[in-house]
Amino acid sequence: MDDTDLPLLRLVAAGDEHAFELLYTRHAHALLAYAQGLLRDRGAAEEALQETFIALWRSAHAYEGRSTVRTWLYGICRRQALKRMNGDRPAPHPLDEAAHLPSTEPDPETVALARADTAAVAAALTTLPAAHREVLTLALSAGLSHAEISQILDIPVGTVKSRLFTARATLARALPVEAEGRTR
Amino acid sequence: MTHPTHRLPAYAAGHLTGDAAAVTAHLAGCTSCATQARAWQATATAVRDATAHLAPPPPSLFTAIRHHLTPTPGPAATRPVPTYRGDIGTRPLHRALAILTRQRTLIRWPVWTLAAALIAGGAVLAALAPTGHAAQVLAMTVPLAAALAVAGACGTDNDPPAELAAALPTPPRVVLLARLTLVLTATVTAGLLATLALTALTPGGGAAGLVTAWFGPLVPLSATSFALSVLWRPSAGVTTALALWLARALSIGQVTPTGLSPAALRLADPLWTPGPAVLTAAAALVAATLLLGPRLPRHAGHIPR
Repeated sequence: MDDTDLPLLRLVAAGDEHAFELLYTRHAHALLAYAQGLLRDRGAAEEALQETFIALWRSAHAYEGRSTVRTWLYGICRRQALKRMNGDRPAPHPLDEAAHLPSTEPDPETVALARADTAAVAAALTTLPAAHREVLTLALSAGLSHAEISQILDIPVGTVKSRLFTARATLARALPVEAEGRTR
Repeated sequence: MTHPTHRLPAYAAGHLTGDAAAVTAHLAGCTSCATQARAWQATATAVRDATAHLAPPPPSLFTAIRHHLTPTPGPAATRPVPTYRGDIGTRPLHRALAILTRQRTLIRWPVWTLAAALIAGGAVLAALAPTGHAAQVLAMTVPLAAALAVAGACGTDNDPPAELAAALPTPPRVVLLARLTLVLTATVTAGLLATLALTALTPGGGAAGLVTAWFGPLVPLSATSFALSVLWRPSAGVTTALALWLARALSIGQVTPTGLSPAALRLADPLWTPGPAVLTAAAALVAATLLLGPRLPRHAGHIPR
């Protein structure tokens, strides 16, 4: 995936606007969804996206290759989104994350989630706290690895793993009761 | 057998690279992992749908971004910051010479022009003057040129290069001394050249006598101008030098303006015909100024707008 991004970024660093547009086309939609998940405000998310790509143009030459281009972009986008947040930063309680270490044996809520219909899960997703929605978006929609997510969120890989399970557990608990009942 | 618990999210999302087949094989024989995988699949579908259902960014957004791009990528905010690149050498003599020559470019051109014009004018006047008066004419012009040049080069009024010099590693005292040295060397050299030209044109007049005539007053006059320009302001140095010059001119011409006694005018005479005491005092004044100058805070009136 990054095989395409890196040469494009090098071209952008040399002033190639076409390469810049290609990078935008490849990532703008996903980044907008990510920003919107964090901000829950379309206007603010578009602003964050705009600033992300302006920052990309300005600092393309300074890209050091310590992360993939995509991870780097998500990192910029996250900073831009956090700037537009009013206080409620996506930082769940540490004890909350520790309480949800994954077990191999599925609990009833996991079973319910596995059986739930798409609309019910989608409805439950909208009720998730920003931090949970964020980690799910990065892992399941953007398809970033645990290591990449750990770079973006600046947390240890172990915390990424446990946060993913915490987010899923919260999602399962948020399933509408009648949907849960119907699937039983 | 270890369960691929942490690989299941990526597997469910279809992003697992490498050992996806191994996970599939594991899921076939492990019901708990299969349930976990289905739970992840449900989650992944919901998250992906949320992204897919989101309206894409409007075309106007990219137009707005393009509008904000600087012509060349790179830090738009980095305006060129003046940096000192010249290497002034490491050996003491090299450094001293480099600091001296750099002052030449920092001293503004009117200073050089004025001094050159005064000395050239003095030389022409001395050549035209009746015999015996050449020394007096040179004694009136060369010291004045030196005093004015010192005030212009060493004063701190409206001197942007001084702001730059203050930010460089060379101490301000060294810069001050370098400027004084440079200006005086230039003026004295010009004076010597003028004297030599004059003696060549008018045979009979001793070059040594002529030089003594103008070099004597040059020392105290320049010292006074230097002290006032550095410690107070250049205009004070210029004004004082001109006042002393006028007093001397009136004293020689035996013309006394009303209200001034000839004795008052003659008070300045020792400066124009200096003995060892005056020369020593002048040297002491320069040393004291060099010592004090950089320590004095510049008051508001000195800061260029």
